[in-house]
Amino acid sequence: MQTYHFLRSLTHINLTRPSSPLHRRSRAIRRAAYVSMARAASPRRMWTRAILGRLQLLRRARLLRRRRNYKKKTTISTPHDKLRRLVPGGEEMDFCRLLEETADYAEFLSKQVRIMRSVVDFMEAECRKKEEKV
Amino acid sequence: MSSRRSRITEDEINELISKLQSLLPESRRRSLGRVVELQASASKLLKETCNYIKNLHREVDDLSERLSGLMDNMEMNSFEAEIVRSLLRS
Repeated sequence: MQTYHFLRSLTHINLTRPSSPLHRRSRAIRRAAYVSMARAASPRRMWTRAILGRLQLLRRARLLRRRRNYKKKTTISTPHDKLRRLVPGGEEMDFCRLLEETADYAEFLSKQVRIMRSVVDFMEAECRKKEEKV
Repeated sequence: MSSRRSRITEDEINELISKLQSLLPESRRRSLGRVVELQASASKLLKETCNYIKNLHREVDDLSERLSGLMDNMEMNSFEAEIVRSLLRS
């Protein structure tokens, strides 16, 4: 599913921006990578919602919780602050949720890297074949 | 500093940390094997996880750039053929 989403996005990028500068296209590809991860994963995850841009709802919910004096205590300090910034939507969750989301996020992220590697390998092989024919 | 106990128990943290640990690639896991004390190993595991995710982000960036350059060279026909082939393989 993740492969399908990503390849579809690549085709779309190829169609709509065939002559755009390299750096802009690579940004579009990068965005497509994260969006296909989020589409393949569960929509109930906060990281998927953060990527697909539905974070506003979460922020509103957090403000409401703060007003009700709902305190989230954590037992580990600085390394988890770093983790919060790395995982999309990490700032909005408590520590327990953060660990779960991290595990899920890392799984889809490593799969995305595998997909992209195999696409790149394939395309490089095709380019080499083309060069040999010339 | 409030003396109220955290909502999250030590057991829950242990469980989540071992879940995370099982996700890290084998090589990183082995280097964490010797550490015994929970706080130290938890903090170390979190650092390892941060590094792992940071590396994956960097790979996505790098692969995006390479893909962008490769798409330049490919024609439309072969690009679609590549897609069909990848889909059949996965």
